[in-house]
Amino acid sequence: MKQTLGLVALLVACTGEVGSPGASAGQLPAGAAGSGAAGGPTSSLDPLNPSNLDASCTVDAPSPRRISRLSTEELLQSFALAGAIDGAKLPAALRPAAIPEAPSSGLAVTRDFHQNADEVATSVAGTYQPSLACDVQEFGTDAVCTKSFLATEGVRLLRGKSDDTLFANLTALAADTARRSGGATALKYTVRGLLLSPASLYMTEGIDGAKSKAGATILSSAELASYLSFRVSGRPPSSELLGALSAISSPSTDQLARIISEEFSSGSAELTARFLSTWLQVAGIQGLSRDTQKHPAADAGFLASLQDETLRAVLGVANDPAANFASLLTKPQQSQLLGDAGSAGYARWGRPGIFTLPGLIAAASAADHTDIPRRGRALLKNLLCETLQSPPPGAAAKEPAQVAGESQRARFERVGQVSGCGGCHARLHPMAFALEAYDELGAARAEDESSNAVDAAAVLDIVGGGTLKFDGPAQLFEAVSQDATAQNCFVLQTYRYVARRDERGSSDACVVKRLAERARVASFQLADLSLSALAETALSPRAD
Amino acid sequence: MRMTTSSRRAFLRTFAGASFASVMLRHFVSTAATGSFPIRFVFVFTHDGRHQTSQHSGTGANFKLGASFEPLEQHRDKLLILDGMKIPDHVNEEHPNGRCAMLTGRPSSEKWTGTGVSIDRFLATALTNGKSVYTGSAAPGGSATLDPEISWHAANIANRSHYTGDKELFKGLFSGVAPASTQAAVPDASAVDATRDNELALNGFLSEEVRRLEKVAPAEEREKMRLHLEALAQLRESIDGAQNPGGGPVLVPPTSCTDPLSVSAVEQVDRSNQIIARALACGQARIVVNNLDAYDPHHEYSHDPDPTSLVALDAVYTKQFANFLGYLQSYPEGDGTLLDNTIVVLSSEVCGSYSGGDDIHGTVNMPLIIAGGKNAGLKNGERIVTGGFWNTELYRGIAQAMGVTDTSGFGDPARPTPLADIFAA
Repeated sequence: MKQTLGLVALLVACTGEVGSPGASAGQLPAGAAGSGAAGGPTSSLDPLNPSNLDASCTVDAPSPRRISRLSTEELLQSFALAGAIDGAKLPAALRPAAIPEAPSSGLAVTRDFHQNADEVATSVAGTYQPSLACDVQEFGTDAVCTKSFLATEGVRLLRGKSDDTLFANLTALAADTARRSGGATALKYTVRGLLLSPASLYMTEGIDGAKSKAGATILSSAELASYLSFRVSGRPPSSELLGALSAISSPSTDQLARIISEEFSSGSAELTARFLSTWLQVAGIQGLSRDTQKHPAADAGFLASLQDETLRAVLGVANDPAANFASLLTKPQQSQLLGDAGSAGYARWGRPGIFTLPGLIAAASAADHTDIPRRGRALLKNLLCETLQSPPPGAAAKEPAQVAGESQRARFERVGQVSGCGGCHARLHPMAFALEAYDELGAARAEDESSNAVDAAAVLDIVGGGTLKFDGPAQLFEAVSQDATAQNCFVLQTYRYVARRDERGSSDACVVKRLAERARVASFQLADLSLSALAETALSPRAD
Repeated sequence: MRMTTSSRRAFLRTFAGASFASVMLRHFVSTAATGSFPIRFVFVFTHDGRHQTSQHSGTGANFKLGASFEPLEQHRDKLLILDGMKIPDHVNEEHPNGRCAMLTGRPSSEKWTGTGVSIDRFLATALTNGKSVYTGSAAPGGSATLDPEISWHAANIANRSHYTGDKELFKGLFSGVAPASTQAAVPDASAVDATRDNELALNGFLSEEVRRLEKVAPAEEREKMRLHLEALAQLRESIDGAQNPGGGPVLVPPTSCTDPLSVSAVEQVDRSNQIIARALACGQARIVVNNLDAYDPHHEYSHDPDPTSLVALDAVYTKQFANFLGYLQSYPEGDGTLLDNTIVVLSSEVCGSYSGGDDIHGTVNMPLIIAGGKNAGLKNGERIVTGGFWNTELYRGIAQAMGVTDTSGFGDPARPTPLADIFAA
């Protein structure tokens, strides 16, 4: 209750008068950096306040049961599983671009699934024939042969799920198809049925798991295997992982961590890389739009290279077993693409940590200027889990005209003086002022395009208490890396990624609190945090 | 010197007659050098007419297709648009009389009756022992009250094969035919229905599975299942053959006579067109009159003072024709495709809408497009405004391109010269 009241007060203050120190500890889907002017809490459920995790943990509640559709990458990897047998040749080009990430009622979505599945089934049906318990012409007609196929290949394609009703329905489908078109066609339609069944397309939680004493369910071994494997590697679980998990009735966190490390040779690094890439929205960099009149070289090829450079830096962090939250934010980076080595700006400011990578700076900037509010919003959300409301209607009309030759900082300081704008802008500006050390492409600079010397000094009050004082990006990120609110926010971001949802206030508070305590002991080491978050969320009981 | 219309025409005809021989000589030499694929002929039409007369603009390679022909843009380098062709007028607004004039090149002398052999019958007699293929309207009611055939001749009717709908067509063309050595995979006659039923069965299975998951899903996750079921329902409608094409698996036209024939297109007309393409490619047919019409109330639309519905239908038929050309192009033949060895003519029986008074279903400025036939020496990728040649002359040219040099038994004897404009120099 205390937290809720605090949030309401902050939200009101944020749209209030000049000088109101307002901000909100809100929430957005993980990894929404650079989302621009839009913002504000999007859920009616209370988000957690990273400044005070203790207060929210009153009862260790079960997690909600989720049914999520596979992402495009996961779907295609799952389809590819059908061909993971000797001699199978999958179609050269499935159509990932045609499959949206989110469920949709559009006919195209289902048709794309069907088309991909049809191509896969056509390609692999012949490969399955030698292993059938009957001549292929008898498939479907011979129910024993069909069931035998489902008990082996069916279970494999469904990632370890064995569902009597599903297999009975598939056996009937095979018989029906065989009667019309023969056994070979029946085999192909059976494979399509397997690939397109909801048991294949969706990841479930607690649908067929065992009930706990409290009435909640735990993930079945097949669900657990998918949960782990898709999150760590983006691929369906191997037979080894399925076997290892099915051999243990109720694995502990430590057992799970051991199995993960045994089954995924670079599991923590891959998991961390996936988390960082998603959180920082690295994949969106090449789709940015830059002002090519101002920056003629910033064409599609440049942006693709920018994304590639960012991704390589992320992988470098993820593959460093010693990497922790502090090194993530402070370890020096260098951009070859922007020629840092000979840059006066780089000599002045350097590139402390991942948030100063040109790709991420550009993603949080406008096409033709640094966009201080946008940068500030992205940093607040990613580093302090603060989400501000959108500007009120008519806010843009109040913005004073830009004065020729003035710096962006001077411009937005004047905006902050406008009645009704000061509350949010007081939150948005400070960290973004430090990033004025980089232009909208992310190039380090000692002065801006109007020859104004960059003033990167600012002060930011932390909502939960404390103050960050800094002059330039290095001091900013050093201060943030040591701040407890920022550290807890990073734990929350990790949790959101592995849980694939936003936290649910007090329901998830105890899990997040445990993770934060463990992370603190481990100096917020990235690999340990990712794996422990994965294990905690995987083993948490589920309830509606 | 200013040339009068009549003297100019006479000059052109004389010139055409002289130049035609040399053009055709080059063509035959060329054909002999490229291989032994026969030249096929297909007349494609919609028997209740099109709304508008020719809408195209520009000439030569710089032409612009009319609005209702835009789906043909993808095939523009295979088209020869012939505008300004003259077709004998018919005695009244009756649709069948328009058909008679379209393919016989002669005016109908009385209601629903032609006065000569149609070009398809003429070619069939000369090239295939009289065997030709007709597809008719499968639409129930309405159009069935009218003779669905554009080709009419009192003689030799018994030797034509007339199929209504894709099932009849498939059965007629492929059932009981001993496959040639290159036709190892001709499917049985029930394949069309079976494919559709298989898709429906799969759809039913998947819907049932989604419903099963929906029952055990937590309340806030059920919306995903509902959307999934909605998408499957939409797909099921298109599989049923309603208005939404493409519901089944990807249509991959076969590329040779040894490939399994896929006739899984959702639209019946597309399925028929796939079957026709296969028959042409694999030696089961050489002369085809293909009636695309499958929609009711097309005839009523053609008499509606408000042309909106008829115009919309025109575009649908054009798309189906474009699909047909795509099927023909999917069969490689020599250095080209089946389309290069097939002369496809698209037209109709009448154009314009009739709602009484002086507004009649006419044949003036009838849309007329030739596609393919490159290996028969035809121009491709051009629009020609012919300046008043007759369809009799066009068909004589086509007949000679197919190797029928004596066309005296066809068409209007007063117009004996083949149209040379259609041939590449």
